[in-house]
Amino acid sequence: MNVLEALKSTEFLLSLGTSATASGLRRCLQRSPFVQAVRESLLKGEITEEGIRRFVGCLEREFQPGIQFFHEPALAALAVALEGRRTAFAEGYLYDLARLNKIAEMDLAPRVAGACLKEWMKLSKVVKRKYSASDRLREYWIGGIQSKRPGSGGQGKGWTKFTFRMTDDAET
Amino acid sequence: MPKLEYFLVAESYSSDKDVDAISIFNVFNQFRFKKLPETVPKLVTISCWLSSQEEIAEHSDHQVVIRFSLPGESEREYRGNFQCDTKCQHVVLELQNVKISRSGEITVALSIDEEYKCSHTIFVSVEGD
Repeated sequence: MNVLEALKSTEFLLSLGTSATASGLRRCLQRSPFVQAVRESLLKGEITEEGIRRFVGCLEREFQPGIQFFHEPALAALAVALEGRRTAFAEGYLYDLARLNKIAEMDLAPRVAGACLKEWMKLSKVVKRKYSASDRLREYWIGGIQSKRPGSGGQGKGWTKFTFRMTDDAET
Repeated sequence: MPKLEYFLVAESYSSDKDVDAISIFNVFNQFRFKKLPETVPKLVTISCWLSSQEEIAEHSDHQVVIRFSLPGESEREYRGNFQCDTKCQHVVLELQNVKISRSGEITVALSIDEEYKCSHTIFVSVEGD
C-alpha cells in the first residue's frame, strides 16, 4: 500500500489511540511509523509534494459540511510529516490547514498544523534569509508570483490575494 | 476608480465561495505583549472595493499600496494590482512574520493608484507598562 493511502487505513487510525489534545496527537504522530514512512518516502523521492497535493485533493472531495471530517487524522499526519521541510509547499500546507481552526468539521488537525507551523518557523529562522522585505517585494512583484488562486479557499473572481513575508532586517 | 467600501487589519479571514461571503476573525486594534520584541506570525489587510459597470466592462486595473509603519522603524510598502471583474472586489494582502520591537502605534495606510484612502491603527503595549 502507498504510504499516503496508508493514512486512510483503519490500522493508522487505531494506532493513534485517543489523543484529546492537539499536542498529544502531534506527539503521537511524531512517533508514528506511518508518518515516518511518509517523511522517508519524500526524502527518497518515492512520493512528491505534488503527489501529496493530489492526495489531499482526493480527501477534500469527501468533505461534507456539518459532518466531522473523517480524514482529519490524515491531514494532521501530513502536517507533522511536512513540518521539517523548508519548502513553499510545506509552508503553504501548514498555513492553509492551521487557518481552518474555526470550522466545526475539524477539531484537532488545524491546531496540530498550527503547532507544526510554529516549529516550521523556528527552523526557518535558523536559515538566514538572503533577502530584505523590499527584495521579497521585488521577487513577488517583478517576478510576477502573485498568489491569485482561483477556486481555492474562496479565491477567484472578485478576489485578489497577495502574500508577503516581512523579515527583520537584522536577520537578513 | 473603484470606491472603497471598507478596510480592516485582522488576524485571519475565511471566505465562502458558495455564497461569496467573507468572515473576518480578530480585527486588530491592540497588541498587548508580555515582552518585546515579539513576532506576529500573520496578519491580513482586507479591503473591499466597489466597481462601476464601466470599470467592470473595461476590466480596469488598479494598484493598491499598503504602507506599514511599525514603531521606531521606517515605513514599508507593499503593492498589489487588481482588476475590476466584479461589482465587489476583495483585495487581501497577507503579511507574515511581522516583528514588533517597540510599543507605540502601528499604522497601516491604504492607497489606490497613489491616492491615499484611509488607515487602520493598532496600539502596541507591554503588560505592566
